[in-house]
Amino acid sequence: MIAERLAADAPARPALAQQALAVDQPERPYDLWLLGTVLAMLSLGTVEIYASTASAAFDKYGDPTYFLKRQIVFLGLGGFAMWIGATFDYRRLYRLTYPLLLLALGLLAAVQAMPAINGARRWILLGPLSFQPVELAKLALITYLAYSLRRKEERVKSFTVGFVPHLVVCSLMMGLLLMQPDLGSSIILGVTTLAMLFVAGARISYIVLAVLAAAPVAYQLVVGTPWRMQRFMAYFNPEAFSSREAYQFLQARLAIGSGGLTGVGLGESRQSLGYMPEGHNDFILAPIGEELGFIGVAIVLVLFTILLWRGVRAALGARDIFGGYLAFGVTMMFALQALLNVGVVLGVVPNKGITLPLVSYGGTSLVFTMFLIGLLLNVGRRPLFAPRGRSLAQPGLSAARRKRARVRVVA
Amino acid sequence: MATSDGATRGMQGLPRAVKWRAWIATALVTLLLAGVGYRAWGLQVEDAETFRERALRQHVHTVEIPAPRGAILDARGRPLAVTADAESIYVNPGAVVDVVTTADRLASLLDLDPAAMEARLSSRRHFAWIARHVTPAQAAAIRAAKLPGVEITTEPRRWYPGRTSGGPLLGFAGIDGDGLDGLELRFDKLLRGQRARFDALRDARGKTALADGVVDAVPGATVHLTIDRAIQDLTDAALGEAVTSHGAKAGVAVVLDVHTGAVLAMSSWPTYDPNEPADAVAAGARNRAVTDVFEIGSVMKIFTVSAALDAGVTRPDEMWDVENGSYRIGNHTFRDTHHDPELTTAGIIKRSSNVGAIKIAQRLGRDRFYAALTRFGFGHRTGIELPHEETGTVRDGSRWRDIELATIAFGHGLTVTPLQVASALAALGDGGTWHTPHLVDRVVGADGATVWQPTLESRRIYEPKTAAQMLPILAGVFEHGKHGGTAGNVVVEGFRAGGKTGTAHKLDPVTKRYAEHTYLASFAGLAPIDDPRIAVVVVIDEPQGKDYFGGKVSAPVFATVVSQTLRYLGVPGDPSAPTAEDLDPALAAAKARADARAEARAKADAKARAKADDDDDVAEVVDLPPVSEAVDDVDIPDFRGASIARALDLARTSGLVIDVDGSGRAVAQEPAPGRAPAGTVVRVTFAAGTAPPPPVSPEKPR
Repeated sequence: MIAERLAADAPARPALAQQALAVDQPERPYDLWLLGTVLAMLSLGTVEIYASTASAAFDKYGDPTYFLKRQIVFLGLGGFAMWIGATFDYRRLYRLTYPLLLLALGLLAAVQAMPAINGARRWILLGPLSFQPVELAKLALITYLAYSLRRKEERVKSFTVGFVPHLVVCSLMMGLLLMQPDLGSSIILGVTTLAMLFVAGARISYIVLAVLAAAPVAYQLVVGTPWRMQRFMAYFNPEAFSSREAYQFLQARLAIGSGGLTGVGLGESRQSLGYMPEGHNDFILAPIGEELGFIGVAIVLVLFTILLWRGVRAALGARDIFGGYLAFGVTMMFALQALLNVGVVLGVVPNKGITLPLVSYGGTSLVFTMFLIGLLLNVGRRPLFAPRGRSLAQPGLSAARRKRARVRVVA
Repeated sequence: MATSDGATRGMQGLPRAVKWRAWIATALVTLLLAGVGYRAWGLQVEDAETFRERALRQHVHTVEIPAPRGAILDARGRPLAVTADAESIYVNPGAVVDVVTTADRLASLLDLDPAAMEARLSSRRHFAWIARHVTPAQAAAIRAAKLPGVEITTEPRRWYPGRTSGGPLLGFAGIDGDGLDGLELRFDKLLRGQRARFDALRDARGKTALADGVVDAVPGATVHLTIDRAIQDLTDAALGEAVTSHGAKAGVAVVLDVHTGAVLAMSSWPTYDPNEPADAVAAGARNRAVTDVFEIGSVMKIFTVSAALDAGVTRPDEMWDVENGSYRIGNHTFRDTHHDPELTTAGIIKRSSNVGAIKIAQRLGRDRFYAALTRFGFGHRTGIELPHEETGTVRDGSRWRDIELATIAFGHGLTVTPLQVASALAALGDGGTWHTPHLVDRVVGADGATVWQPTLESRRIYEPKTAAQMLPILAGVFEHGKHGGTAGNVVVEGFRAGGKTGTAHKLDPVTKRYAEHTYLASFAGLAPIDDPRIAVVVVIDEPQGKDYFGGKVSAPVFATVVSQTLRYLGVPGDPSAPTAEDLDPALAAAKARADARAEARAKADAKARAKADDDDDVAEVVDLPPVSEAVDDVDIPDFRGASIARALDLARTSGLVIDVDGSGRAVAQEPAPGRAPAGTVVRVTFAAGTAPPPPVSPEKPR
């Protein structure tokens, strides 16, 4: 009866509304913890982007706020993307899985035809805008895995049905990424895939097997590519490569180390006087560590931990499996990316080209990242509407819950 | 909820097992995040000190701002050495875009070697000089070329407006403003000032980014000399002409104020232009008045006779048997140029008799003679404020052999510096009182306080009676006629002077014997002889040709210097002084021509000075006959708008001397642009904060 009333109120989307009301699900508020964490990261990142680029931007463009202004523009675009991510019916992605996957693979292949920037073909250039297909690939892969894992359910445990197809798609993507070359993103996607398979119930032995199989490939990649080998050597003996491969790392470590416990003070970074050309980008943690000290670095790590736990909470609280895997995959990917980025800056792992999500200077990548955050919020919110998929729209609520929901709807 | 089938499980969210594994994965990643956090703790808290030190080394460097070097001014405050800004070109190799092209452009604009330039541009440092103290035209060309990484800065540069005038005396300062020779070296500490040093942040390209507590450099002190540029110039000119016309190796001339010991001029030949000191060392240029010692010869008879008169062992009119100019001691025979049978004590000086001098010295005896020479200052430094002063060598008198006593009597067997001779002679001109020779009047700090003054000593080295007796004796040397003095053919225009010639055989350094044909021609004298004002010593080393006598080579220099200096100083001329017409007509004619040239220069100097200075001493100089033939006219450029450096440069190339007044940009000049005799002094007034200078096009010939 309520359904009928609401259906009359919402004639624009009668089918959806009917289904949603049939399910009779309550709407949760957005996760303010998650939102607050994200806003804190964006603020910290924006401040440090300004602090670390003011001097260089003034030298180069005559405007100390050059990067700050662009960052604010992308924050605006990202905010819009986040709003879309948080409000659209994420279950539509379920049906878009394969088109999305094909588009991502197509763009990853197309990028090979683009001119190289700094020796890498990562960007698709559209006039003044540039766009990295890897961002779309992340979404596509996670969507595909969520879709596939939901469909296969218990058959995930099987090697041929549950394990190999996922690895094939993932390897295809990783292969295309390695051609760019983009080892960092490739690793992130690979580990995210393995993490999702593990969570879904794939056998540990298969995962170990996959890692073992990847080892010789990784070895070949490192030893067979001179500059990767150099980076690898530089990791073990940075001082010997101080002016080349290890320059960024050594300067970042100097910045972080000299920050001490409380830092040299906001805006007081000396390393930003041109010593760290990537201080706003992959190495944003360095100016944070220098200006805010260990406390600043710890804040970043705590924020990512909160993001991780709230993200996982959203995933596990999701009412549908697809949404649950989607949220878990997105969360895991952010956490792994942060881990790898911080690891590189602190010298725990060899140098990769990985940004610190939500903190680094972003461009289009920030817009995508914020869209994914929106998606996390969306899943966590348990939206009222439900996808049109047959198996998803099943009533299963207790009487008490149904009563609460009814009260809210009526109110 | 727990027992849900496949269909409902979708609405239940992830299965329980999945949730468990998800928490496991999350916990694992959290642990890893904690792990990198621990790593950050290690870097930032435990190793912070190490990194902080390393960071300081990278970021902070000491910036030095050189202090402007103090000026050296002459007795009337005219600049002899000043510091002005000059432009220098440097490169930041890191900022150079195209090394090869940049190197080629720089090389062609600055006339440098392209390969060397390329090497410099390829350096990994943040800074390298390309060319320092370039001309304004070169700087303009570089500026116009707009080469990335190539920068222009201004640096203090030392300028010597007088060019070669007084070069070896002033010495020079190196490109970084360090005094390297002469007064520049001796007063380096005071001239140098105190450069400002402070720590500053430097960015990755080596640029100074921030600096706290910048200290101003303390400008160097100003050295006021007793040297008068006009006298220095005329002395330089007279000496230079004599040295070159006689093909001599070197020459020295010193002009002392007999009443104070102040050095009015100190010239050396070869000289050099301290603006371009590179050739100075090669030319053997040095301030020979104090750095070189000579066996000066007969000039020393002045002191032999003075010592004897002082000791009371003879009188000026005592008659001495001079053995017809040939006297044997041991197995050596001493000869005179003239063959007089007998001479008075005064005559011994006038005719420069070696035999007479020997006899006087023998009567005086070793001890008294040695004591007198020591008292006169020989064998000791005079104490003048110049580096590298020599003592000369006077052996202990008690150990003189007979032959040494004899030779020392006429100036062989001991070495002296020209300055020692000048100051011992000056004492005769001041009634027997010796004054420490000095050429620095005072050194004034940037705040106007006197920071240094010479310690002057005055002591009686002759009886006043001796001094009074010696003056007429010295005047006799200029007596003309058959039995005249050794400088009898020399005319000191307008004044009566006295002195002593010297013509010494030089000791051959290889054979250790006196060489037959290498001579040292010298003259030392006082003027005006009735009431001496100045003592002048002229030494000319190895004159070539048939004229090698002190009376022929050095005495004319003395005459020119004395005559011009006394006029310049405003000493009234002596109408009773002999003139050129009193002498042999042929000689007079020849000398007149030579003098005309010298006088013209003196007139030009005096005229220019009259314009430059307030007119207090013009009256005495304007009555000179106008002589125009010998002076080359030059163009006086328009100095207005020029920086001091550029004005000095302009003056240098157009053959003018400028007086710098004030600082900043030139706003006025006197005389105005036009034609003027070479060497004219142009007074240029500079002022700060005036309208921007007219643009200097790079093509403009300088």
